[in-house]
Amino acid sequence: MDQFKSYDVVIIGSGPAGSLCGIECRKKGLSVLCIEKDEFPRFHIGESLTGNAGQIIRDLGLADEMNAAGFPDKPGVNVIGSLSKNEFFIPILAPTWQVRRSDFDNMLKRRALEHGVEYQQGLVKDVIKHEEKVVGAIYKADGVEHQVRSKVLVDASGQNTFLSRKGIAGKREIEFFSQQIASFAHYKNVERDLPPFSTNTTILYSKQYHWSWIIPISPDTDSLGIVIPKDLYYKECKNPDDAIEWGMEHISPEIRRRFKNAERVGESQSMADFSYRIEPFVGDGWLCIGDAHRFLDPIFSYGVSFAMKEGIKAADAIKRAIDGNDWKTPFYEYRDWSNGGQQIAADLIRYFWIYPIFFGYQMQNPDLRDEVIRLLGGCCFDCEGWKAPTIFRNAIEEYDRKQMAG
Amino acid sequence: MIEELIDFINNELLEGAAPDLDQHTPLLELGILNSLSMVRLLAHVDQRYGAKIPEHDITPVYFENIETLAALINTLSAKDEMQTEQSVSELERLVKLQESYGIQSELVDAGEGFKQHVLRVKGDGPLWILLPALGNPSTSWSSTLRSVQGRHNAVALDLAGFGLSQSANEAPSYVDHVEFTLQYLATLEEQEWVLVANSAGSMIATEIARRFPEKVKALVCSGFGLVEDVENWWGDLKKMSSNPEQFLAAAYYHPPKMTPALESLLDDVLSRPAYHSFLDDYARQSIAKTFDGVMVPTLFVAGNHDQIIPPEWSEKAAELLDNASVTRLSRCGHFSASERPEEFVWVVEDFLNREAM
Repeated sequence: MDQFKSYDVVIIGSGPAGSLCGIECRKKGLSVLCIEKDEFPRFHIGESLTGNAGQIIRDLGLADEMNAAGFPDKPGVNVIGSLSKNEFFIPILAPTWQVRRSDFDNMLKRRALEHGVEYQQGLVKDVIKHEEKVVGAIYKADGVEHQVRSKVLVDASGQNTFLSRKGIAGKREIEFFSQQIASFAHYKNVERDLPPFSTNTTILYSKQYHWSWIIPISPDTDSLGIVIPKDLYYKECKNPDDAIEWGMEHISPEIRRRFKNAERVGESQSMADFSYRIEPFVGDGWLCIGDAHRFLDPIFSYGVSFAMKEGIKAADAIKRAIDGNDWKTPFYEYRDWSNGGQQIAADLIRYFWIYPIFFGYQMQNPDLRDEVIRLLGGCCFDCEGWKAPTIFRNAIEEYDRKQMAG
Repeated sequence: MIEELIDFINNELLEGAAPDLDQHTPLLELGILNSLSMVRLLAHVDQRYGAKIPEHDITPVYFENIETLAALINTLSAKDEMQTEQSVSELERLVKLQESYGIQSELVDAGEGFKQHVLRVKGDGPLWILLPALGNPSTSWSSTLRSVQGRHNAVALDLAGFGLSQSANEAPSYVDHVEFTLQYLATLEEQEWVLVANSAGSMIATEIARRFPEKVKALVCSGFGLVEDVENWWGDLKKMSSNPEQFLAAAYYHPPKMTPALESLLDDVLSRPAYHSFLDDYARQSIAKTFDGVMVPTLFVAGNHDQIIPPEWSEKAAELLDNASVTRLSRCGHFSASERPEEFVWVVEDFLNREAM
């Protein structure tokens, strides 16, 4: 083993969470190394951004580059109910985009490099501990193992959940929405709505936890996803193509209509067990951000938005921990802040699934409408004193009580 | 009460599609209720049982099934079923429902025996004047009003001879409508307007825009355009009006099925003299010239599946104007403000933003 280098912050993974955390740490004067296992650009799912994410991107000064890359504007979200008979539209307040993740993640990574984040392609194999404190990582690059020391090790490894697998963070616990399998692929020649709504996200559902997304990710390509319960998948489908076919047949006639002349580009894929949480996700010398500790459900496109927000928030906690020689106060604050926002998002998603029609109806109530639009825009972390989260929480508690009793 | 509610939901809301409906059928989970039918159910509960359900009580717990709903009604009910005022029309019921949302209902004396009924919401900026299609009441703008409430000032009008407006002239022509509307507009404190009109209401709006370009800051016409062959179009429309189901199929992307309540609303409209007097000979001649001299910024919102005024006609109209654009809405017919309520407000606001308002 060679002589090790030392950084204030070592980040595992250069997706949106890792890049944003790196950029923010650099702005605070910390030295940062980011270790990424994949060669970029690489495929990733999660292609729709919230208004909140759009604001973060503009704050990074990337708006022009986003437009130049051909990422479509996202005016809002269309939610189309069973048999396509009822639907509602949720406008996006802060402008945002739909993205091809391979290009988008690469753009963020380049911006991180411009901010002075150092970058290493390699596979992190293990952590280095000094007693109970995490003080670095061991990674393999070009066939050789290296050591790197860190004041704080950040797990931004996404669904790999590296620190959880190493037993540093807690175990993966399945969340409410984990009993489903998502199958997805990219297509050309999909019929879109007319402008200005041609690049909306469209969500189509039939019954609870049977749904589909259509996301235009470039001027000529749309992402289609079919999410169905696991038992149905294993019973009816041999592969992702079968699941997509099942969705076109059963979720909504509107999917078939739009994909009548569509041609698939590349392979279809399936993903299971994507909904989980990990506790604890902060500790002495380490913390987790984004999917590395929690992923709820793709339905409202919170993934990238939450990952970036947590990356930014974690940088603040990291700076305070390093400066103050006390990790507990800032890291626990970060943890509580994250759990609070994630809980509100989880409630919103569950409420939608239990009462989809009611959700649509309440969108017409001016008292709640603005709040719900903002929550769907990603404001789940900044909604103290709002009415809607309490209404949703109460309704879910009532529902759960009845389910328990029944 | 439970029997009556089952009957109402099955026959009125579900168009008879759920004969097995009982007091325990989960209304929300099975998607029996949708946003539109929720509104009608609330109106029914109010009229029939005098139970005005406060907005904060409109939570799923009470709408789980007919039994839970009946329990809520019982705690709120001001009068029992037997004392129902049968005289309340479907129209008044809908207006009352708007009031429960905080939308104001006003009857304004506009002079010369004309009383203009409007629904009003308060907000900022120039006053949106919402002019309905012929025969449609002010409540046809309900979704728009609720959506802009608190953000824009807006009034939705009952045209003379319709809704709750009162005039000595029971059979006003198009020209009379323009005069009645101007009479009402003259009573307003606000003298800067955005005219937002649907179908025949757009004819009134274009005339006002032509005559008062200094007051009309912008014009939005939905379900309206250049009608080149007026006589044929009018003939077809009259034929269609005699078969309401055919009309609904042509006008809506998802046509509502004929229910007793809808039938009584339609019968009311079709039997009014005002329905037949609007498009007199003079008005039919005026249609072709309706866009002449309109200079204000104009937006046409066209339903891509509108078979009453096809979207191409809106595009032809826009070509006649110097400062006009067209937005077509997918999966939408003649009544974009009620068929695609959120998108409609979105495109109008986007248009006003572009016009720096």
